[in-house]
Amino acid sequence: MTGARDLPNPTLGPGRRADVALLLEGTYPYVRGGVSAWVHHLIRGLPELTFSLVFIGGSRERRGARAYELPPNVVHLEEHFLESPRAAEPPGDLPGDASFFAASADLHDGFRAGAGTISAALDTVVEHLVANPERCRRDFLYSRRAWKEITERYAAGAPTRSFLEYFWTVRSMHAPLFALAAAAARVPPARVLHVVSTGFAGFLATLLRRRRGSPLIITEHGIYTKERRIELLQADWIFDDERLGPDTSDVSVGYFRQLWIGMFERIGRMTYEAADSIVTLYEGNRLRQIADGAPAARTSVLPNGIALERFRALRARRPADVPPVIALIGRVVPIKDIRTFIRAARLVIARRPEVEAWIVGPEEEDPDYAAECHELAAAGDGREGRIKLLGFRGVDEIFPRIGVNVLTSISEAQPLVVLEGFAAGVPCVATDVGCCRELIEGTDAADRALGAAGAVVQIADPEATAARIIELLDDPARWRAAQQAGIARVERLYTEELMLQRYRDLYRASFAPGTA
Amino acid sequence: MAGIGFLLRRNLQSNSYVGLLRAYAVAAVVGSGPWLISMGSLLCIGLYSQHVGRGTLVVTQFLGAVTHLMALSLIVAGLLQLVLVRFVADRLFDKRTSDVFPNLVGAMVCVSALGGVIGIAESLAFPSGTGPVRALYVAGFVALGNVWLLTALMSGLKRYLGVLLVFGLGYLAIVGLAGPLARFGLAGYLLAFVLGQGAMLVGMLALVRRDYPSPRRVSFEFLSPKAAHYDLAAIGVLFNVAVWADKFVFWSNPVTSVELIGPVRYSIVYDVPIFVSYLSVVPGVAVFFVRIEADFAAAYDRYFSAVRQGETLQELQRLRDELVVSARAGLFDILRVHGTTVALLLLLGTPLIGLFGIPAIYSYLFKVDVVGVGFQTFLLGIFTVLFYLDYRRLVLWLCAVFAAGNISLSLLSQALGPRFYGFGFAVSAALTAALSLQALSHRLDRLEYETFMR
Repeated sequence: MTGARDLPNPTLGPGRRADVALLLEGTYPYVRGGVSAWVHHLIRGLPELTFSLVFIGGSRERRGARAYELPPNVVHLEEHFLESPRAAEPPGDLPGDASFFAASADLHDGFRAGAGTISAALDTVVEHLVANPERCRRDFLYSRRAWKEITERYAAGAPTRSFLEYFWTVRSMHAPLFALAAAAARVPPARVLHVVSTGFAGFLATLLRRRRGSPLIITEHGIYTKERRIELLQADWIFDDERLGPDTSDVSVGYFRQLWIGMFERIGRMTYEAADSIVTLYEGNRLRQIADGAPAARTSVLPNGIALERFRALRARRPADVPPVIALIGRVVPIKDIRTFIRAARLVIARRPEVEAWIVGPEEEDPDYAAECHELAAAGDGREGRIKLLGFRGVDEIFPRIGVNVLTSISEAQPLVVLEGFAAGVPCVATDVGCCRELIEGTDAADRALGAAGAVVQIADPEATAARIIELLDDPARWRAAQQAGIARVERLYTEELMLQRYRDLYRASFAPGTA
Repeated sequence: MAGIGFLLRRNLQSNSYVGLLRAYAVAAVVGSGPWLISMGSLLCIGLYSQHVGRGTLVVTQFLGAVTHLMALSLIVAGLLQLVLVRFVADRLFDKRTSDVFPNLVGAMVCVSALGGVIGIAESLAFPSGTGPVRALYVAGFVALGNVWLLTALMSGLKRYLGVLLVFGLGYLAIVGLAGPLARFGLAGYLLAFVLGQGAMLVGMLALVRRDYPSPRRVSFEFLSPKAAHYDLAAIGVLFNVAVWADKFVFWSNPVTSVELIGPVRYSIVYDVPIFVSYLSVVPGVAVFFVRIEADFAAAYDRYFSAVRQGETLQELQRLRDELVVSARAGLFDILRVHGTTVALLLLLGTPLIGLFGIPAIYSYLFKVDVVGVGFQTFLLGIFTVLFYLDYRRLVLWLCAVFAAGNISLSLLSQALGPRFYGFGFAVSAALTAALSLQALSHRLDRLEYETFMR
């Protein structure tokens, strides 16, 4: 890390405020990744606005150093952590605040009753939480009312489960919320709140929106609750209830996993209800947000864009003929389903032995999976060495040398690598996830008229993937048409300038009159 | 997802219901066993001496000195007894057995130093010309303090038989040596006592060392803030202060006491009735001890195992009820058995007390005292249950109430006159017992809340 990244955090003086407060959960400026890169571009692309950053992390010890150099229009950076130190000694007999628990009970009943029923109760809960977060936390941890509430809901909802597990699940689920309530009191004011996920950052945004009335924008790249759900289904720290009796309706997901998943769904709903504008990258995610409780009228699609110049320049470096090389550019992790790519590549090479297949991306994140992929790529049947894992490489070096950009992910939002490939003149074969179909085939009629920039296949289908790749490689005319469609689409619809202009407009519209 | 880097982790409270050895709880009760043996033996010496007609003053001086030594040494040892036993229990739970012996030695160094200083300070106030008596008094102080420490530790380690054997043999030796050494007067009696205590000390030390060998000699880790529960030190001191407060009140008042050797005083009206009445607790304590060790400990284990193993709340409530029933049964047994004992003693009271050479007019005080020690035993039973559930802070408060009550009410009883002697002790024990029972019942009623949320 460079010295500049270890500088002290910029801090807004008392009474001052930024134009935009960005609430960031586990991302910018400490963790690298797609969302972080996007945030960085957004801030740099709107130099006329000032930003304050509110980072939410697990614990201070695991935060790490800044991964990005802060642009000069970041005027404030503060960090909050979900793990709050435990009080050394529980206080004595604590009855608990009656009105807080009454409102909390209303809120939880409202969750159960369905959408549109939580607003009033939520306001009362938020009022208590923000006014005195420490007392609320102590009441939750130690008071008799909290005990009554927990045991009553246990008796009503889970009387046959492990009480120990129930108790600690409830505690662990709620503890971070009190830490966020304490954080809400300290976040400096801003003309507009912008949160880049639901989840814990979304909860903090909800508290701030309801307490301060500043307009709230949500941008979701991936759908937080959906990704949490996948993570929780795989988490091994959750106690799997082995006492699932014959009476259990949903045996596929353990009860305690369901509690966790349910919490994130509820937080998602609270955040959507509090938001003034709910933005996502493509139509599929917008529909998902509506299904998860987002009021449809406040949703909109605002796709990401890329910096064209850099990739345009790469087109000149392409050879005259289509290179017999296919590549998957992405991290070597299960969600990218590298194994399907390798299987498809073997099928392609079986038909076209001169073809090479590259996997370009870092392998550190999941070493076990990377090892499996190496093993599968090297499996000997006369094609040794045709399938290569190259590790992390700059895309500028890769795009001019490949014929087809392949994406076999089982989950994506709006993969920029597809657009970057288009801009560099590379057609794409991608799975039907996220907005890959929209990127390759187009959205509205005008867009579709530009033609297909490649092909879309179902997930985990190496045969179809191989077939579509071979069709492109075997037919130069088809390949050129796909290339031209990709270039036209990205230049018309997916430029960074377009995205920045749309956010500039969105922010401007959110600034309440008289706050300029 | 938005590059989410942190895991959702369960911040499971460490150790909150890990079943720590609650051995020190039992130690408190078992501790009274050796003490009773001591009292019984001393009374035997007294009776025997009277019987053979040896110098009554010397014997009275001896008994007074030993009683005084016991009171002070119990208070001094109380400072570290429970702290050490809890420390050892925690280390054994961590499987660090080699920490036991060096920390015992460390505690013995502390008790010896403290006992030595107090003993020397007291003996300086002895009349002149009593050099050997002074030396033996200090030696006795140090030996007794260490014997109490070892007794508590061995009880905590559940070496009950070893403790009883050592005490039996030790006091047999004291009684046996008292005969031949009697001709040297007070110094002779004290020498017999110190030799016997020394032998007990060595014996118990050897037993502990055999079971818990260690390459290290001494350690004071038991005092470190990380390992020690200082509230147990306060409890140990306050409880012994509370138990002895009325005696000190009567010893310090010239109207109710006489000087034996300097600061060592004796109250003819007060001492014998109360010490004889202490013997009456034997049946009640024995029954309660069996109950606690058998029924209650098992119910306790069942409850906390069920908590750890993730039973349903309904099941926990059922096991809580069982735990309450067994605690209630144990405490009720104290009342029942002690009540029976008291009834018998009250019937036999006057002739019995005559046996000890106390004028019949004091049998009234004796009757008050047997009721008082009954409440004290009951209180001890409640403390045992509270210790099991680790309500140290509560026990500390109750000990403070008992101490304050016993001091103030004993002073009041002196002011009110002989008809009220003993009531200070009995009433304060009864009040504290009632208060403790109320507190215990409150805690047990909502044990699950206390288990999870406290």
